[in-house]
Amino acid sequence: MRLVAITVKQIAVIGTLITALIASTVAQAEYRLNFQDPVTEVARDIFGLHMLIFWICVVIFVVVFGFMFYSIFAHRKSKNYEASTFSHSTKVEIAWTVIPFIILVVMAIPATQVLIKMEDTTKSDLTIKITGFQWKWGYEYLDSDVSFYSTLSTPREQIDQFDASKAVPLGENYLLEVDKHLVVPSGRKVRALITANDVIHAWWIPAFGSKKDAIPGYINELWFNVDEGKEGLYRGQCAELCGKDHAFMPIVVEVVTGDQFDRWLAAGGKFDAQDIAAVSATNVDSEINISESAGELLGDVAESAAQAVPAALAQDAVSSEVSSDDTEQTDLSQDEEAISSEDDQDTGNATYTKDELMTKGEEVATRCIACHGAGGNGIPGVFPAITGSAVATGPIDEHIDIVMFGIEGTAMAAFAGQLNDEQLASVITFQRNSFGNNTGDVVLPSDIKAKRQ
Amino acid sequence: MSDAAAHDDHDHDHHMPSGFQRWFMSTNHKDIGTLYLIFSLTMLFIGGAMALVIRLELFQPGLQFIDPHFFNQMTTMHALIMVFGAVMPGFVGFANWMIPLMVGAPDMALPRMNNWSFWILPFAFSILLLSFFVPGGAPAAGWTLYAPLTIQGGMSVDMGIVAIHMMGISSIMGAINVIVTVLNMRAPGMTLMKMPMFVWTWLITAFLLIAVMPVFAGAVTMLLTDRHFGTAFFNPAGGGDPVLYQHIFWFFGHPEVYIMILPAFGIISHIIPTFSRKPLFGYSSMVFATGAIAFLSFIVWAHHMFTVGMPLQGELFFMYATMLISVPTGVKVFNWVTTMWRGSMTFETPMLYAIGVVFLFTLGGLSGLMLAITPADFQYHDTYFVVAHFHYVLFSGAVMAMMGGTFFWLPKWTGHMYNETLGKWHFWLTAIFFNVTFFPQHFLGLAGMPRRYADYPIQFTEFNQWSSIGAFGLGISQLLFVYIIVSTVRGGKKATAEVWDNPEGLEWTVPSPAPFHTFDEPPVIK
Repeated sequence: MRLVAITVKQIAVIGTLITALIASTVAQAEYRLNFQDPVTEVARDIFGLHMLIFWICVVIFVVVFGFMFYSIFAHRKSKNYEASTFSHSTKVEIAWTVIPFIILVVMAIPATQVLIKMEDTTKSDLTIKITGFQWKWGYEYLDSDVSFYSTLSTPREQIDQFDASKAVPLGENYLLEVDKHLVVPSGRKVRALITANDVIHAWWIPAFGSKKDAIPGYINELWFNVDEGKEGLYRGQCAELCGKDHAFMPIVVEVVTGDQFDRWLAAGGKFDAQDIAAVSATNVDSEINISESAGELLGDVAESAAQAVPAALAQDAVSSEVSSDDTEQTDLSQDEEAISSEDDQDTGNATYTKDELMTKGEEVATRCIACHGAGGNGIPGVFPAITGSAVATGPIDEHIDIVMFGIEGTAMAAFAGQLNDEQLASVITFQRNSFGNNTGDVVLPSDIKAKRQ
Repeated sequence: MSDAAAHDDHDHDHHMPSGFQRWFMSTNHKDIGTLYLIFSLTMLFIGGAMALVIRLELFQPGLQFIDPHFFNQMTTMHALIMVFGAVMPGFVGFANWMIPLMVGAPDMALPRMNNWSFWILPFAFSILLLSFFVPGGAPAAGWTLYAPLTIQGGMSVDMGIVAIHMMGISSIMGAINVIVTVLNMRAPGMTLMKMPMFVWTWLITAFLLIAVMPVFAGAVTMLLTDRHFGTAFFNPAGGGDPVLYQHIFWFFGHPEVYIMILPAFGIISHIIPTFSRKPLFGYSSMVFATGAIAFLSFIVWAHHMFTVGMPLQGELFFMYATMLISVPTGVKVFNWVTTMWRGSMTFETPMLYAIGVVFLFTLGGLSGLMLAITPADFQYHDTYFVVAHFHYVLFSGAVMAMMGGTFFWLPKWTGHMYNETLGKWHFWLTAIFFNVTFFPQHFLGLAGMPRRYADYPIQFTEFNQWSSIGAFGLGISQLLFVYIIVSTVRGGKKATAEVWDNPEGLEWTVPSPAPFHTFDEPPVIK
């Protein structure tokens, strides 16, 4: 009975699949058979090593199974082949123990050399701290004030296709686009210190040949030095299962020239107008926009961006001085939505209406619904609901505490460092007056400010 | 030996109970073996159905059918059920049926414990499967149950831990039974170095099981106390060490993969000589190679976790040790190929499976060698390249070896010949759809698709579609396997005692079907 049921169901499913394949309107980018084009020396070494081992394996495979298939072809009963009776040969057995061992030694030598090079994080020009969160990445440029979070910017409407009638076309960089890029210079040794805030993640940019686990309580190291002339966008994804949205926390690294990087860092993480023009191809991605013009795979980005750098840039004096004065900068590049822990606006003095807070709060609440669900219902036993919860309908003070400082030992992150006062106030207001809650409470940025002290 | 057979023949249904008493209270190694095999096949279908849910969702980018949390439950449960429910009990089933017949013993040494070790399993897996219905659903942190992600999970994680403890107890008891039987109940004259290869591989597997199942039990117990009793073995919030969990887990986990493949090597070592009409080449080197693999399996665990940030020296040690495993594994492959060499081969279904296993397992072994190369592993790690690799060794290694073993011994078990045409169809469908499913995953992994992803960037679409189509083909083909088994049990051409053309081994000296009691009088081996 059970088997019959499975048959019918499976036939139905495969029928659906075949129909879907024929009628498929899914955007398809060019596929690859091998590693992404390496842009660092280490990545090239790894690629070379990978191909060396691959071809050795292919040769072994062909030789061994050449013998086997010859035997299958020739030594068969249907050809009246008489079976021999031999059952051992010490010479042959020693040979096929020793020869593979020698092949292994041949493989191990270059592997060891590359590994030693990979693990040498000394003499770096720049250090960045990378922190994995459920489900975003945090970046801090040590020795400067620049730090920010980087979250997936692919719109939810593209991802959720449960209702086929509402499906929208997928963008070219579906699941490989973020709101803020990690910006690094080419031609310099960048060291990354990698850790995590909640569970284990792994930071990976295939074209750099860098992958390292981000483990809470640990600080791991990796380094990369992107070739000069390979400026552009490089994309990677989290590589260690980190819970529900593991597939939705990509990494985008924007490689710029050393000069551009220095100016960017000096300006507190902003490009000036000229640099924006220079790297414009790369900036398209920072807007949440499905009709992106950057419809290229990684290698192409690198080339086009490199060509786009105008020679005029070279004339600009390099500003190595770290300036915290934002007012002189023409702020064109960065998304206003970007979160910054350095936000020092005097939000406490402004006046806010509940409607303003609710509107703002709805935008910020995308961070909440990642776990607590679009309807605020959570996942029972794993992520608590917002709807009707004791927190969101109980004392305001506790609610603010939880949102700002998190709950230790759970997935609930501390948002005090990730959101500014206005964002925190509005999202808490939003939580208390939506998701089916209707407390009528209003939390003001000044309330948050008071808590910060 | 024919005396023993004749003797068995006339009293074979003297003490044969029926119904509830026969199946639930059985102490007969053949009946318990049958129960294990049925259980394993059932789990293969349950775990397989979960794989199809995964492949359905991955047919195209975007989320069409299931949300990512349920997707993670599917990948976790698929693996737990296949590893602990399908593959391990499957091999215990073969061990129960064949070890006493191969060593000329009347039964397993500890028959009541044998009954218990089987009957724990349905309860263990009921608990595991019921976890789908608790708040938050089934465990979703991957079969490796890495902390601290498991510390976040709902009560299903606790149910999973209880289930793991139960199946661990079952495995350890099964292993003790195999060791005691093999060491004490061999027929007079059967020295250790005259034992059939399947018995050898299982003896070594049993020692591996006893060595590592308690380690796994310890790891999950520490997880349990971290979750509920405020300890902080692995919880970084209390100063615990998430990497420690991985070391302990893989100290169990690597021998575990050999637990799942060594008995398969044993089965292959019986099938190939039979259909090559030539003795197994290099018997003693086979035994030593198996022992060497078992030893090395204890010192390579950290190759599963090169990216956690180990010291350079550690990475080099685990790289070299891992590469070394390919030497004894290579010896085995060369021995099988040389056994075929200048034989007089025929290609009945079991032989097709054996050749398929040697070919495809070696492919998986070579991708394993690539994975051993640490710098390259940094790129392969946690991608579909790894998924492809371990399905080549686990499905086309372990599972296909069990399928081959089933066709090989089914006439002995049932007394009927299976339908050869259907058997060959099953082999070709399985082998082809398996490759359609998993070969493209190598490309996906190299191009950069991480594993355990509910959704993926669009450049991975085509190969995922191939993979999904292959998976459904592979799943449906297994219904043919069930049909062949059921129809062979019900009837078919009568099998002779030897079944095949002059096969070697005591199991072929008893009639087909093997009577309820065999070898009441031990045979004498010259």
